Amino acid sequence: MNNSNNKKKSYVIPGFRLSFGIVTGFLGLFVVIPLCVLALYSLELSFDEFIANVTSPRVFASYRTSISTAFTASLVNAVMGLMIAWVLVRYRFPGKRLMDGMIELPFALPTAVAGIALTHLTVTEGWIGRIFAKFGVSVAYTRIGITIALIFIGIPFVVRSVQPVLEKLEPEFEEAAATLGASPAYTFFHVILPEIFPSLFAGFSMAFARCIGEYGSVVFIAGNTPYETEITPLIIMAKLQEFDYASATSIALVMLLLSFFILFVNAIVQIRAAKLT
Amino acid sequence: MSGQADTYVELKHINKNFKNFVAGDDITFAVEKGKLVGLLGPSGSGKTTILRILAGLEPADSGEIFIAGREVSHVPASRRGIGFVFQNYALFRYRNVFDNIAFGLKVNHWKKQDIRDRVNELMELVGLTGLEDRYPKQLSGGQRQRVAFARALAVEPQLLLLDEPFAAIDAKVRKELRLWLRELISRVGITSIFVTHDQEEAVEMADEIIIINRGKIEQIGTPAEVYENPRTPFVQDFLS
Repeated sequence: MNNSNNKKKSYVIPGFRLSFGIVTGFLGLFVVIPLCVLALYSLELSFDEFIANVTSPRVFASYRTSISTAFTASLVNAVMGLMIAWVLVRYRFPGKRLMDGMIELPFALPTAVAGIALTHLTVTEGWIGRIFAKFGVSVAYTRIGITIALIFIGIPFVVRSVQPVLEKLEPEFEEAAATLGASPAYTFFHVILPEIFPSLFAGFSMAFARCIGEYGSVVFIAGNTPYETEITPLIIMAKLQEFDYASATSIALVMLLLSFFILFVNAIVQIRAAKLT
Repeated sequence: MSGQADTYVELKHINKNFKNFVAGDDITFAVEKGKLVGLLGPSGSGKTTILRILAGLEPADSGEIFIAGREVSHVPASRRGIGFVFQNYALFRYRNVFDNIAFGLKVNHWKKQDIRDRVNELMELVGLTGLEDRYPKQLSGGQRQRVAFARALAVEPQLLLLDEPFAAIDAKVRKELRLWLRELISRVGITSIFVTHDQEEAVEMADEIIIINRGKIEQIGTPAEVYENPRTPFVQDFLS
C-alpha cells in the first residue's frame, strides 16, 4: 500500500546504510547461521532416516508431552497474565511497584534454580505437594509438575505484552458501551477483550514458543519417564550426550518448525489487527 | 416533580468539585421536549463534566437529575436511556459499521431480523447505506460521526448527548455538517444537548443556549436573546 521502500525518506538522524549493515550482520551471525547449521547437520541423515528418527514412538510421545504441557501452561498464563496486567494498570495499591518488578523475576532467575525450588515444593513431602497428595494428586514428576514449571517461565510474556496496551486503552470505549446499555461483564468480553486480544495472543504465542523449548526448569520436576514425562528438549540432550548429533539436530529442526509455525500464526493475527487500528 | 408541564430534562442544584477545580456550581436548568440545547463555554468551564454527569459517566457531588419525569441521579449510565456521541466518536475499532450500530440492539437482545431492519433504517437515515462492511479506520471523520450518531440513536434513547460533535472534523466541512446534524435531529425529533466552545456553532444549531463559565451558569436563552441582552459582562465578552 505504501511504497516507503522505493521513496527515499529523509530523517533527522542519517546512517541507514551503516545501521542496516550492522543489523543484518548481527542477525545473520547470531540467528540465521546457527539455524542453518541445524538444518545442515540433520542433512547427514537420509530423508527416510530423518522421518523415522523424528517420528519414533518415544520422540513422538515427547512432542505430545511438550506441546500439551506448554499449551496448557500458556493458556493458564493468558488468563492469569491478563488479570495481573489488569490489576497493575487499573488499581493503585501499596506494593504495586514491587509486584510490577516481580513480574520479570522468571526472566532473571536461572531456570534451574526455579526448577529445583518448584520440585522441593511439589514433591509429596513438600509444602504444596502435601496438600495435593491428600487428594491423591501428585504434582512433581508428572505432567502437572511440568505445566507448573512452564507457567512460572511464561508469566512475563503475557503480562508485558498486555500491560502497555491496557494502559493506552481509552476509557471512551467502555463508556460508549455503558451508554449503549452494556453490563460491565458484557463490556469486558465484547469491547475490551477484542481491543487487547492481539497483544494477548502475542503474549500467549511467545510464551508457548518459549515453553516448548524450555529445558532447565523442567528437567528437575518432570521425572523424565519415557513416554510419560519426557519432554522433547530432554531427548535432544540425551542424543547429544550419546554424540548422535544428526538425530539431535533433526529433532531440534522439528521443534524449530513448530516454533516458526506458532510465531507465523501470531504474525497473521498481528497484521490483521494492525489493519483496523 | 418538574416545574413546567413540558419540562423533559431537569438538573437541580448539581455540584461537582475536582481537586482544585469547580466543574459544577449549583447547576440548575430545564430542557423542553424536542429541543436542541447548546452548552456553551470556554475550555475548562465544566460544560463537558455537566454533560457527563447527565449521562451518568461521572457522579455529581450533590443535586438531582430528572429525565422524562424519572429521577436518574443514581441510575447507572447503562440504564439512563440516553444516547451519547463522544468527541472522538469512540467507535469500536474491531467491529464494522453494521456491528457498531447494532451493538446496543444486541445488548438489548433484539432478534436478528429486527436488528438488520433497524440498522438498515439508520444507515439510510444518516446516508451511509452501502458502507456496512467498512471498519472505522476506513471512514472519513464525517462518516465516523454519522456512525456514532446512528449507534447512539439505535436503541431509541429519550435524550441524546453530544460532546463537541465537530471537534474531530475538518474545519472546511464543519459548517455543512452542522446544518445536516441539526436537520437530522429535528427530523428524528429527539431532545438533544450538545457541548461546544464555538459561539457560531451554538448559535447556528441550538434552539436554546446555556452559557457556562467556571462551573456556573451565566445565562440561558435563545441565541437571539443572549446576543441582544447579554446579562453578564462575561457573556458580553464571550459572544463578541
